[in-house]
Amino acid sequence: MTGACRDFEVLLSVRAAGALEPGEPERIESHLARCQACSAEAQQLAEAVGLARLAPPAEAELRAMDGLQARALASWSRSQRSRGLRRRLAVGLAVAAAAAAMVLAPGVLRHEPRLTGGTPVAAAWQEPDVDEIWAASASVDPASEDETSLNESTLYAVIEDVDGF
Amino acid sequence: MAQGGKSDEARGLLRVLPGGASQADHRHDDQLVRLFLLGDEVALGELLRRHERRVLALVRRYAASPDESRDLVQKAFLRALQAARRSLRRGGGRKTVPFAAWLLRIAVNLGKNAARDAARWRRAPVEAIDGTASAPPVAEEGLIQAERERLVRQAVLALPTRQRQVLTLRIDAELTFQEIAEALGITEGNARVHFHHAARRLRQVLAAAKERTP
Repeated sequence: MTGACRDFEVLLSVRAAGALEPGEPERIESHLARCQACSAEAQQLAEAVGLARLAPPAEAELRAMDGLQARALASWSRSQRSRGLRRRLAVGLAVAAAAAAMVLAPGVLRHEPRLTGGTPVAAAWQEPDVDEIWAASASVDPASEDETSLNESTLYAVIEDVDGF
Repeated sequence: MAQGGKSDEARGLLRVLPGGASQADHRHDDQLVRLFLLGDEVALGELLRRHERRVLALVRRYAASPDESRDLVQKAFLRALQAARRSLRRGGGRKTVPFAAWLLRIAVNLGKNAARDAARWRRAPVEAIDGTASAPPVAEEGLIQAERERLVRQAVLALPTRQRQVLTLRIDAELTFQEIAEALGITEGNARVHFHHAARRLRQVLAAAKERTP
């Protein structure tokens, strides 16, 4: 096989497929007449493609196609009905989910557990003592931006202030 | 025409519009699809009449019986119509694919799914349908030829997806390479090269079989 033969590689397969375009048969046949290797290759390709081809549909296959339209219509109608049901079910579920969210959302938001260091503390949550909070807030320096920055001594001072209030 | 290699682009959206080898045919398909989606059952009959033989030619390679062939044909049509409905509802996409091309693409992919079922294709389904192939060969030469045929057809099912699609669209559905390119969203040259690789693979399988039984 020469470099020129490589130009015909794809064409040999297309020839085996019986799908050469105008002008191509002349080119390739001229080459095959001169090149034994490509001629043998063309023969093998044609044989392989020929073996891959199926025989025309048998009578039984064609008979089985009778009534295809009725079957297809029945199947289409079934799929339309189930599609309608799925759509109605999806809408119903969406409405139910929205209603449930409206009912439950206020309660969930009020009792949402706080996370401390990634650990849920919902079980330890207790009702705050409003009086204590009021007293503490009254003692904390209003200039302090971060209440959580109170250290232990500051906290004791707050408590003493409350006691002396 | 889309270039190969970009699956999302190649897949595209179905837009039933004129195009391809015969504009009139595709325009009629478009009208028929729309009519059927509006409830005209006769339109489906016409679509089946036009395309069922070609779809049958594509799917029968993978079917174990005539009834299964018919079921695959039906499935291909229904999926193509569902795709058409979705596409028409969206108002079409960037790409336009004629209904027939979409139908063939679906049919060849249904075959791919069937080919995945190794147990099924090992039963050499075509022989079960084809009366001439299933007849017991009377001579040793016939036995050898039947075995080679079985090996080559089995090799078709084991080809890489694109090669198998191109090969079967050519030798089963008898599409031109231009029509194959349109159906698969690749270039015509690309389709020819895929066919070439497929044919070479089959030739190798045949050569190996001949070495075993000269």
